Amino acid sequence: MLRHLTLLSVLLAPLAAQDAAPAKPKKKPDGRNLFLMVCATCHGAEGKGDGPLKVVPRPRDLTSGKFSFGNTRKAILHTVENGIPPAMPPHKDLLNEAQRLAVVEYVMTLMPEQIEMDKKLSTLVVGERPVFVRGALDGHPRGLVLGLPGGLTLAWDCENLRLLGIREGAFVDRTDWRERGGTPLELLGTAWPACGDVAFPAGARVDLRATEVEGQVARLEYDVRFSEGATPVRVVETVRGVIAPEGKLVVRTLTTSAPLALLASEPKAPVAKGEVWRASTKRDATTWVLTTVLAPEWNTAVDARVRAEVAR
Amino acid sequence: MKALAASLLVTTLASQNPEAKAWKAEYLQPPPDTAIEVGGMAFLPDGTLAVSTRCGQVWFVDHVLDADPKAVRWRLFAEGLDEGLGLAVKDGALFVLQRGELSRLVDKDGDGHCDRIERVAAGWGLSGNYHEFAYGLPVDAAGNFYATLNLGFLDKAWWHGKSLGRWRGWALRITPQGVVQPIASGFRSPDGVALSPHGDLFVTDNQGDWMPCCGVFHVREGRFYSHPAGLRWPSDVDPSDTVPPKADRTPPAVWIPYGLSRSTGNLAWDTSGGKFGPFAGDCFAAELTNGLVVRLLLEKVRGEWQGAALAFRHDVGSAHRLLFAPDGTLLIGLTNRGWGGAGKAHGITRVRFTGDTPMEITKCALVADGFDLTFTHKVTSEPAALSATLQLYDYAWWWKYGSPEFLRDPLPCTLTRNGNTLAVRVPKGRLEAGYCARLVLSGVVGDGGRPLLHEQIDYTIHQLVDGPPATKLVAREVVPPKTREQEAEGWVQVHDAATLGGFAKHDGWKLADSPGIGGDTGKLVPKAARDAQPGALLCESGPAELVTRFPHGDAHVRLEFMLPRGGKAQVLLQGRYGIVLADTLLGSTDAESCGAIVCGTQRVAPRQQTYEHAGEWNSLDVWFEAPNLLPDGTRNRKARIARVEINHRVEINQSKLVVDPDRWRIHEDVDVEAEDERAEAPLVIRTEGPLALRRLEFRALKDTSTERAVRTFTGPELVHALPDLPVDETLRLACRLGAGGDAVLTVDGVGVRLNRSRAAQKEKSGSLVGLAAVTSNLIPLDDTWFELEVVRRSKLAQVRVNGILVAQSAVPEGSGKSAVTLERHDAATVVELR
Repeated sequence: MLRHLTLLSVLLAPLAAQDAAPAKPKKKPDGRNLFLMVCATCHGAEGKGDGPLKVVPRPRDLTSGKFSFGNTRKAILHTVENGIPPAMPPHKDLLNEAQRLAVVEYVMTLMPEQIEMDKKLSTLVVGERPVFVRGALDGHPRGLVLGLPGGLTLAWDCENLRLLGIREGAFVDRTDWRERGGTPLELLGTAWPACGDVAFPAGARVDLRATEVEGQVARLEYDVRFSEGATPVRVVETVRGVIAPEGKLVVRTLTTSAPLALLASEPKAPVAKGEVWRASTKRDATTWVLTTVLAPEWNTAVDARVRAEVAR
Repeated sequence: MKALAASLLVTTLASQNPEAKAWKAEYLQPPPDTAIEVGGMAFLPDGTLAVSTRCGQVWFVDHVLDADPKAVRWRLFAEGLDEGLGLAVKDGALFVLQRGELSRLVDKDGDGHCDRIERVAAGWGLSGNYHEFAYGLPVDAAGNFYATLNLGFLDKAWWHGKSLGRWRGWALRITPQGVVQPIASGFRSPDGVALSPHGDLFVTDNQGDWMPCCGVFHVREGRFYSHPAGLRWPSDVDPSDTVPPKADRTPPAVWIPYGLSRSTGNLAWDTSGGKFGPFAGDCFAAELTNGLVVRLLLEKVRGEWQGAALAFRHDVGSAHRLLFAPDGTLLIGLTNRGWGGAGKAHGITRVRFTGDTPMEITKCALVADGFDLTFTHKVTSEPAALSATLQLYDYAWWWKYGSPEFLRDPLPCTLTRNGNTLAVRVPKGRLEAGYCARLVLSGVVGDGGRPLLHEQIDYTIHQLVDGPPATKLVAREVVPPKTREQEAEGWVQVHDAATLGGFAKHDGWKLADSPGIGGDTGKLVPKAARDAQPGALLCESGPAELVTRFPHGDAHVRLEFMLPRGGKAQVLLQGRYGIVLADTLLGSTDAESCGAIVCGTQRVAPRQQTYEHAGEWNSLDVWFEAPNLLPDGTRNRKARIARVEINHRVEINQSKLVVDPDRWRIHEDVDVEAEDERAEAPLVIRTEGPLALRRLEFRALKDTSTERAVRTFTGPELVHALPDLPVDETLRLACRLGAGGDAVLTVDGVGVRLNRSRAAQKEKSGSLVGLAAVTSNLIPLDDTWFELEVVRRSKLAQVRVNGILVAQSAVPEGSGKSAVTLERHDAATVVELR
C-alpha cells in the first residue's frame, strides 16, 4: 500500500508542477492522458484492472461497467475524489476539478455502451394499417400476431394456424428486444373470452405461406393438406376489425382454392360465451366467413350488422 | 450524452491506434431512438444497403459509401419479424432469416415498405428456448441458402447446450424450393455462415461447452464438428451432456485464440482486388466481445484448410457482421445487447484503406520445420535485433465451458530475413501437428522504419507439410471432468429452490426468481429475467431471521448472497458464530466489513476483501469445526472457523481457471467461542435489511462415503427384502434415485422415505414416514449418490443424509429384528443402493 502511494506521488509530481505553472492559457485537460498517468498503474492502460502495480484486491475493471457506487458521472467523481479505502487513494488534492472531471469523462467512455430497451421502446403500437408481428407466444414458439387499427389483436400459432385468441386494447410488448432476445411476446390489452378456434380437422397439416397487408385489410395465406404428397388447398384468409355501435367485430373471410369441408366444428348459429358471440357462414363452396362479435347480447341490430359484414 | 461519449471514444482511440493510420474507421450514425442491432447486410441491385436487425426490422440505408459519413440516410422497410440474423439478396429479391423461418420480403405496391412476407422454409425445430437463434445467410451459385441453428441453453451454471428441436446444432442448406437439407452437425452457437470465393462453406462458432475457443469450420456434408448435442438428430436419441460421443470429429480450419476472439460473428473475404489494402483474398472475421476484426490467413495443406489468425483492426465497435462493399469498404454491423461487446453497441462502422500500408504479415505459410512469413514491406531489422518465441498449445475437448490453452515449453527458433520474407525455423521434428503454434515476433521493422503492426500470430496445425498424416486433434479428447452429479455428491441442500421446507423459521422471506436491485430504489426486488435462476430466497425488508431446519456440526457451509447498497447481515454458524455479510467498499478490511468474524465481543477482520458488488451474487464458503463437548458438558476443543472464502466459486471463466488458492481466502484457523455451545445446531442468517440468498448447502467434513457393490432395484416386483444388510443399531448405505423416484426403506418397522418427486408436500428423502417429514429436496440433483444413516434405537429413530441430521422422532419400542425392506412406489422408480 505504501509502495502504491509513493509511486503514485511520483507519478503525480509533474501534474502538480504543471498545475502550478502560471499564466498559461487554460486548455481543457486531456482525460485519457490523465488516466494513463494517474489511474493506469492500477487499472491498466485500458482500464481492465490489470495495471502493472498488482494491487490486492484486484482493481476494478472499468470496462465492465460495474462500479461500487454506480456508473453515473456523479458516482465516479465521488470515487475519484474520495477513493475507496484502503487500495484506492483519494485524488481530491492531487487533481484539480477540471482534471477530475476529465478523468471521469474518460472513464465513462471505457464502459460498454449498451442499448437499453425498456418497455416504452419495446411496446409496439398499431397505426392506420394492420401490423403483423412474428415471435414466440407462450407455449407456441412460432407465433403470429396481427394488430388491427382500432385496437383489436389476433394471435395464431403458425404451426397449425390455430387462432389463439382475440384481444382489445394495447398491442404487444416485444420482451425479446431486451437482454439476449428469444422471450415470448407479451400480448397487451384485454382478452376476449373463449375466442380461440381450431379451424381444421385433426390430421390436417397447415403451412403458413404468406402474410400481407393491403390498405386496411390483412391477409394470411396457408396451405392445408390431409396427407403427405397430397395437393394442398390454398386458403386465403382476410381479417378485418369493425368497431360498430352494435359491438366490436372481427370478420375473417376464408377463401379456399378448392371446396374444403374444413370448418365442420364451427357453429353455424351464433353461440355465446360470456359477451362473445361466434358465428360462421358458408357463403359458397369455397368461401367461409367467421365472425366474432363482442356485444352484450345478440339482437336484431347485431344480427343485421353481422349479415352486412358477411355480405361485404 | 452517452452516444457522444462513445463517439469521442472511437475518435480518440482511433487516433491512438496505429491500425487507424492504415484503416480509417467511421461510424454511420443510426437514426435517433432506434436500435440497429445488425444481424445481416447485403446490397440491393441499386446500391442501397439492406440491413436486418435483431429487433426484426429491415432498414434500407442510402449513401453508405459517400465520402461524408453524415450523408447516410436510413429508411425502415420492414418490421415485425422474429429477429433477422441473416439477410440475402438473390435475383433482386430480399430474403431474411428469421428465428423460425426463411422469408422473402416483398414491396408489392412500390411504396418503399414491405407489405408481403412469404415463407420460403421453416423446416427446423423451435422449442421456445430463448437461445435458439438462426444464423445466415449466404447463397450459392445454384440459389441455395445456407443457415445454422443455435443450441438451446437451459442451465446457466453449466451451459450444457441442448438440441431441443430438429436440426438444432446443424448447418442447413435450403433449396430455392424451400426444402431444408441438414448437411453437418456439431455446432454450438454458430453465429457466422459464409461461402468463400472458392465456393467452400465456412461456419464460425463460439467458445463454450465442447468448443474450447472460437473456431472457423470448413463444412462438408455429413461431417460432425465439435458439439455433440446435435447428434440427437435424425434418430432423436439425446447424446450425453458430459461423455464424449463416439463420432468422427472434423476439426475447424482455425481455432481463434481466446485473447483475440470470444464471440466470433461472420466472415468476409476481401475480393476488392487491392482497394482495401494489401490483404486481397484474405478472410476477415467479426469479433463481438473484443470489438475488433480478426484476419485469417488460410491455406490448404494436404487438401484441407488450415491457417493462422491475427488481429486486424481494433476499436470498431461490437463487430457482428462483415460485408465488403464494391468499392473495397468494409462494413461492420454492430450489436452487443445481452451478448457482451466493446465500443459501439449498434449501427454500422465502415473501415477504409487510407493508402498508408503498414508493416504487416501478409502471408504465413507452414513449411517443413517452421513458417515462411511474408510482409508488406522489406524487413530491414538488423539480424541481431530480430527474435521470436514459438510455443505450441492445445485444448481440452470437454463439456466444460471453454478450455485453457495447455502451453508447451517454447521451441527454440531461428529467424532469417530475405527481402520481405522471414523464415522461422525450429529444430527438425519439433513442430508437431495437432497443436496451435503461437509465434510472437520482436524487433521486426520494415522499410522506412515502420514497426510491425501485429507481432502475434497463431497458426492451427492440423497437418504438417511432410511426414505421415497426423491424427491428433488440437482439441484433444480428455477424461471427462466430474459431472455435475458427481460434484453434488456429499452435499445437503438446505434450500432446494422450490420450497421453504429447509427452514424452521422463515418469517419475512419468500421465494423469488432472479432478484436484483430495483431501479433507483437501491432495494432488492424480484426481477423477471430470461435466464432467471429459480427460487432464490428474498427478504425485501429486514430485520428478519432465517433458521435452518437441520443442525450442522463439523461442516463446509456454502451459500450465495446478494446485498443491496449498504446492506448488512450475518451468517451465524450453529446460530452462534457470526460471519458478516456487508456491502463493503472495495479493499475494506476492518472488523465491520464483509467476511469479518463476530462472536460476542470477539471480532476478526478479513485479511483481504474479495466481496464484489451490491446487486451481484457473491459466494461464501466456510469450513467450520464444532466445539468438542464431553458428556459432562465440558469442552475439550473450541469451535474453529477453519477457513472462509468469499467469491472463490464464481462463474467459470477461462481467465480464472488457474487461480492462486489463497486468492479468495479471507480467514484461516480462527478459534471462536460462544455461550451454550452445542455439537450440532441450526444455522441462522440474520439480516438488518434486504438480502437475497441461494444455494445454501451443508457438507459434513467427516467422510461418510461407503464403497460397496451397487445393487439396482427395478422391474415389476416392488417389494424387496434385504436380509443381508448389516444392521445393528445403525444402518449405513448409499442411495441413488432418478427423477420422480419414490420408495420407502423400512428398518425394524420404521420407514425412511427415498423420494425425488416433484410434488410439493410429499415427504422427501430422509423423512421418517409418518413421523418426521422432510419437505424439501435435500439432494441437489437427480441421479446423485447420497449417504443415508438410519439409527433405530429402542425409542428413538434418527436419519442422517450425507452426515447431516435431517429427521428424528420418538418411536415405539422396536422388535429388535434387523429386518430391512425396500418398497418401491411404482415400477418406474429405480433405486440403487450400495
